[in-house]
Amino acid sequence: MCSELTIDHWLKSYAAGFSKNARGLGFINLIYPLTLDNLMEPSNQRSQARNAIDVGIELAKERNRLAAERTLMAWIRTSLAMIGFGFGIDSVVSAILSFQTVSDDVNSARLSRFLGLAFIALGVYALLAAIVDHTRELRRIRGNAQYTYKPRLSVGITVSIGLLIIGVLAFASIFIQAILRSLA
Amino acid sequence: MNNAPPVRIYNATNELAKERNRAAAERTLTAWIQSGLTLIGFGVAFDQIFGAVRRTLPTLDSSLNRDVTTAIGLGAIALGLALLALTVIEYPIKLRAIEQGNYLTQPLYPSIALITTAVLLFGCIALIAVLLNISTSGLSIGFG
Repeated sequence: MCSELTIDHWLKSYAAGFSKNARGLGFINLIYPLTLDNLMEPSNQRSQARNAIDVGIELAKERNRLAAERTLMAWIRTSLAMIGFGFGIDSVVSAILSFQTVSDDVNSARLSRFLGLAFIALGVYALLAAIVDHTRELRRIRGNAQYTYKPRLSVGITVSIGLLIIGVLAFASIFIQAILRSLA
Repeated sequence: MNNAPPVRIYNATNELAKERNRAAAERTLTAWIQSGLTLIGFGVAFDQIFGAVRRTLPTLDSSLNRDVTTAIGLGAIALGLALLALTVIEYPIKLRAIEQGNYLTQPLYPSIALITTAVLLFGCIALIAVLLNISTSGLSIGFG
């Protein structure tokens, strides 16, 4: 902006500042008539037109960054639930069984341990994948190239399918145990 | 009459909006995963913790028998699995809708109403099962 200034323009804008003051536009201009508006005058119209487009995109990019951040937070909550549950179920069942006075099979404890480990592994995978996805998205937003939406494999689908498999295994295991118990 | 296919004009704002829609769909998916995880976790925990308590304290007189807890646990897991299966089917449809050129708002899916009704029914059935069990075991807790 300053490079576009010439002495002539500076003088004109100084004079314009005074003329505004003469019309009673402000106390500040009386002391320092060279306002920012006056300085930007020669490129004002051109920069306004350019800024009208750029600001829209920049704001959209900021919205995207915030959306990506909320998505990462959602993944953190989901992963925390998975890891917490995986850790909790095994700990609780182990704690209860530690009071056991009668020696018995520990099939149930094994199932809870397997499920606990599977949930923890899935939670860690989801969090890592979400972090990688978030970092890539931030890089794309910050990049100088034209932003284009890229269809790609979602973390959510892989995690959903993983959870579905763990759920089916848990269901089958509990169901088979119940049948064996009723037969015994 | 111009039969040529419409030229797709690049618009950065639209591309960014698509990405935001995708992020919103992903957050919705995580919410569904959390619901499914809660149901599956509840089912597993209910069965496993009850089984561990029964094995540790075999003389404990409980109003709930093992079969009822297993049935409630299995019901919750099945519900969680059904919910996740619906999500796995629905999410790619949403993504495909975003990725196509001319986006049109999809008709409202009835899955949320379906799942809410299913959870409500599950709660009612579990309540009835527990109440029936308490009544057949002679109200052994609380008033025993």
